[in-house]
Amino acid sequence: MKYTDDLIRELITCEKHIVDSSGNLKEENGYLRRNLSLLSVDRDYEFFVFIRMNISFQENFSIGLEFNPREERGRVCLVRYNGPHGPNRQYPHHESCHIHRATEETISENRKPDSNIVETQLYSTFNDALNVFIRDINISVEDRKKHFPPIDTQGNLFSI
Amino acid sequence: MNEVIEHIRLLFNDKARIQEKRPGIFQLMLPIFHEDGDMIDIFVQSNGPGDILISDFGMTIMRLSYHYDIDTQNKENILQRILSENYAYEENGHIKFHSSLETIYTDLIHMAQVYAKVGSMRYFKREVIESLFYEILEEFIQKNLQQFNPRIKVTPIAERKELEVDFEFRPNGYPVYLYGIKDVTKARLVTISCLEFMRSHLTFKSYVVHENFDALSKKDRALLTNACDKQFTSLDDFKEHAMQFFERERH
Repeated sequence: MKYTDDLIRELITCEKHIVDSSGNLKEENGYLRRNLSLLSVDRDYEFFVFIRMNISFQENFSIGLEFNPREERGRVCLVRYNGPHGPNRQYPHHESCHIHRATEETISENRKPDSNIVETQLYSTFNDALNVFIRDINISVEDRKKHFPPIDTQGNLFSI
Repeated sequence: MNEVIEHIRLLFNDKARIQEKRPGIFQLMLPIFHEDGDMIDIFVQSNGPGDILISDFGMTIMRLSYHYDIDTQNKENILQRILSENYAYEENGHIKFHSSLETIYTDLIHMAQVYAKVGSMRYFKREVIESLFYEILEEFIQKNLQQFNPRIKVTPIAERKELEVDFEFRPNGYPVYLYGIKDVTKARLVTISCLEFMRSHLTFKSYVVHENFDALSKKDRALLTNACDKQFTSLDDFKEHAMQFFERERH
């Protein structure tokens, strides 16, 4: 499969249904975790979502979308929303929330697909990041309500 | 602890930034990065007189879990072996090491390596290991079947470069074409290739070595069975019986 930037964008933004969820965040080895399996609405693409948050440092979190190609083994991490856990190679002097995003270049050059990093101000906490993530990867509204009910009292963040 | 922090700062020649993340817990911003560009997470805290605790606060195993879980006893054994061979230990997911003011520089470098090693366990993923299938198959052939004159990557129909055979053997007058198959894409390509060779009236025999025969669908197995002459259902099966079958081809 040739991963062009257009295909990567399509994979990230196509509407998706949740077909399996490990339930609420569960504690394991010093972090909270939740996994979900997703399918594009047209059933052409399979995905996997992982949600992780460190218990000692709750700003250390990562919420990622992986593509599971049917004709190849293994998954490709398309996008990962991180907290301000520390500096990184692209921004060695900042500690900000950042998004790892696969690009045609990182994949074709056999680098880690999600090694491209962009700082973001779209979110500042884990809950915000989760809301932005499930909106950006286009989980169907029905599944957002079912699997990610609003948890704060500031209104429904999933409303369109 | 201030003395320790100043000492570390001095040892790293001001190349390390140090930030107090929680009271008494300091994160070291060393220019050592994971493959995805994130910095390796290293924290230090005082653990009593002369004892400095280096820890990742669970970040290494959490990062690993994005792509790879320590969910079997074998994986746990590998993790524990990496840690014990490097004088580190794990406590509720936190990978720790006890250091001192005298050894803190080398210990921090050492632990950065340990965290990277544990992170590298993701290379043990099944699909990565399985990708060694073709390599192992070739190694076995080159080592054990030389007497049958193996040739690698042969194109039986010169103008059809896409119909490439993995290995050609000449145990007798006619060629034996051998393919390694580890997924459905390759299985279908082999089926098409064998049928095309037949359509072109080539004289040959076709052997197939499966990485995992059961992983193919019933339809794919049926198509392949109808197109090729002999299938080895696993690499172990091939290793055990290849010689016997090639000997039979000699006569």
